[in-house]
Amino acid sequence: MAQNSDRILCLGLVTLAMAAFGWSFIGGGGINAASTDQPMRLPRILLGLWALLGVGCALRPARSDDTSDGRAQHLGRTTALIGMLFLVAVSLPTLGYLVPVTGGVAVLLWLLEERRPLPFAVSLAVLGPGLWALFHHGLGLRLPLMMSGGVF
Amino acid sequence: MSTILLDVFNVWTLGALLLGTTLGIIIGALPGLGSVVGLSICLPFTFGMDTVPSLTLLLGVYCGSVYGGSISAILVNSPGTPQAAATTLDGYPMAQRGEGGLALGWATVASVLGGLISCGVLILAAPQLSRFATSFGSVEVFALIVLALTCIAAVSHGNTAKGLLMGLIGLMLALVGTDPVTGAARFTFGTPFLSAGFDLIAVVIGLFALSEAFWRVATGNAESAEVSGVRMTLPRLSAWKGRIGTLIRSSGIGCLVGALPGTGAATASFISYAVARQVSPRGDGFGRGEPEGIVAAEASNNAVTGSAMIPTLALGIPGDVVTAILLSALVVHGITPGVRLMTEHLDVVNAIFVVLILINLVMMVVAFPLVRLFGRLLMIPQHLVTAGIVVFGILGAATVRGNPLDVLVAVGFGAAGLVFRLTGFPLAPLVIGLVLGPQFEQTLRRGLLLNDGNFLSFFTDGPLAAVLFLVAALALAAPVIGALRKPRLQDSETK
Repeated sequence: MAQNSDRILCLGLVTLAMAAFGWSFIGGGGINAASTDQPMRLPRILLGLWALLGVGCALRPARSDDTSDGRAQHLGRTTALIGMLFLVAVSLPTLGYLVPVTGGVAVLLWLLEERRPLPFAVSLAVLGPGLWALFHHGLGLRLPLMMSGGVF
Repeated sequence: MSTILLDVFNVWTLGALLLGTTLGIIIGALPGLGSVVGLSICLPFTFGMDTVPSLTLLLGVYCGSVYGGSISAILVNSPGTPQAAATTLDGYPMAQRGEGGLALGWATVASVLGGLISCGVLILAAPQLSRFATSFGSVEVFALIVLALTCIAAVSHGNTAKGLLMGLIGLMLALVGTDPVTGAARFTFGTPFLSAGFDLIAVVIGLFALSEAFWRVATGNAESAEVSGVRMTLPRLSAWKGRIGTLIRSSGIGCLVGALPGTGAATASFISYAVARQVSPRGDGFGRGEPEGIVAAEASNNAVTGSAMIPTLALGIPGDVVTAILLSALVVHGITPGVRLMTEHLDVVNAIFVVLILINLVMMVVAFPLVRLFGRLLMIPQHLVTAGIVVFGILGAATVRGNPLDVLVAVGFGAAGLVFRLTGFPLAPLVIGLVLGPQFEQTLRRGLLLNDGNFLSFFTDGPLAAVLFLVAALALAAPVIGALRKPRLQDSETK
C-alpha cells in the first residue's frame, strides 16, 4: 500500500514536470537572440532531471529503510480540513480576515471534536477575533480587510 | 562595539530574548511540536520588529526548543523534539528512580555549557570562513551550493534519490516568477501574483506548520501524558569529576556535526552518546540511568545550535530547515544572505553572537520555573494546540507580504507537505533548494557568461571549485556504494 502510494506520487511528480516542461515552450520566457543566456534553459534542465529522478524513484524496488511519518487514519476529516482552509484562503481577498477565519476556526474546532460549549466559545474567541485584534490593532500588522479602509 | 551593545541591550531585544527562550522551551517540551513548527508559528510576530529583536526571538525559540525537548524526554519518556531522543535512554530511567529533578539538572547544565562552547566555536570560526569565502567567484559559490544540496539530499531519511528530487523541486520553485536577467515571465500562467514568485515564508509555513496540523488530524497522533510537579536540582560540582571529558568531547562532536549541512542535532546526540558509551569507564551503566549519557546527548545537541550558524552566517548556506527559516527572516528585513553577509552586515552578525551567548545563560534561569510548570503544560488539550498551529499559520502567511493569496500558497504547500510526509519524502531539501535557488541560478548564469557559455570550464576554472564538485559527487556516490555493498555483506554473513 505504502509502496503504491509512493509510486503514484512519483508518477504524479513526473507528470507535473513534463507538463511544466511543455509549458516552458509555449508559456513565455522568450528567446534572446543576442545572447546564449536563455531564461528557460535552467528550468528545462532542472525539469528534465526532476522527471528522470521521479521515474527512478517510481521504478526502484521497495526499501526497508524508507520511512514515513505515520499512517493516515482520518483522511476524510483531514480532507475536510484542507478543503475548509482552501475556502478560507479563497475568500480572504473579498471578505477580509476576520469573518472567514472566525468561521473557519469554528469549523476547525468542530472537526477536532471540541463539543464542550465553554471551551469551544473561549477557543473561538481567542483564536479568531482575539488574535485578529492582537495582530491587526495591537502589533500593527495589517491583515486583509473586507472593505478598503474599513474596521474589519 | 557600542552599536552591538545598543542593538542587544535594549528593552526590545532583551524582551524578545526572554520571550523567545521561554516559548522555545515550552514548544520543545510539548511532544510533537519541535523547533521548525515553533519557528514557523512564531515568524508572524517578527514581521513588525527590527532585525536584531526579530532574530533574537527566533534564535531563542530555536535554542530553547532544542533544550526543551529534554524535559519531556526525561519526565515522560517522550522526547519533545527528535534531537532529545538520545536523552530518554538515561534520563527516563533516572526519573523512574525518583531522580527526575537531578536528571533535568544534568541536562540543563550540559545543554547550557554545550551551547556556550558552540558559541565560542562560532565566534572563532565564522569570521575566518567568511574572510576565505569573500575570495569566492561565481563558479565557487555555485559549486558550494551544489555541495550543500547534495549533502542534504544524501542524508535525507537514508534515501538520496527522494532527497535530490525534493531539492530539485525546491530549486525549480525558486525559478517561478520574473527572470531577473531578461525580465521574462516564467511559469506565472498569466497571473500577476506569481510574477514575484512563491514567498519563502508562506511555503515554509505551509510545509511545516500547516502540514504538521494536517498530519496530527490525519494520524490522530495527539497523545497527552500526566506528570506530577518536579523540582530541578543541579548536580554537585564533585559529581562532575570524570564527566567533564564527556561534556567537552560531546560538545566538540556537536560543533563538528552541526557545521555540516543536512545533519542536525539528532545525529550529533546519537553519535556523542555512542562514543561516550564506548569511551567512558561508566559505559556499562549507560541506558540504565547514568548521568553521563544525558551529558553526552544534551551537550552535543545544544552544541549544534551555534555551529549550525557557521555556514549560515559565513557562507549564506543554510545547513538545515531551521537556519533556512532564520535566513528567510533576514530576507524579510531586507538583508540578502550570501558569502558577503558578514562583511556587509557585520553589526547584525555580531549581535547574533552576543544574543546566542545570552540565550544560553537565560535558558538556565528560565528552566527552573518552566520545569515546575511542565505538568500543567502537558494538560493543554492537543486539539487546541493543533487549532493554534493552523491559525498562526494563516496569520503568518497573510501578514508576510500583506497579500491574502499567500494563504492559498501556504494551504497548498501544507496539503503537499502532508502527502510528502506520509510517503516518506523529506521536506528539508525542498526548502533549502527554495532558499538557495536564486543564488544557484545567478551564480550559474554569471559563471556561464564569464566562461563563454562553456559549463565544462566550471570544473577546470580553479582547484577549489573542482574539489567542491568532487566532494559533492562523493556525497552522492556514498549512499549508492553503501546500498550496493549491503547485499554482499548480508550474503557473506549468511554464508
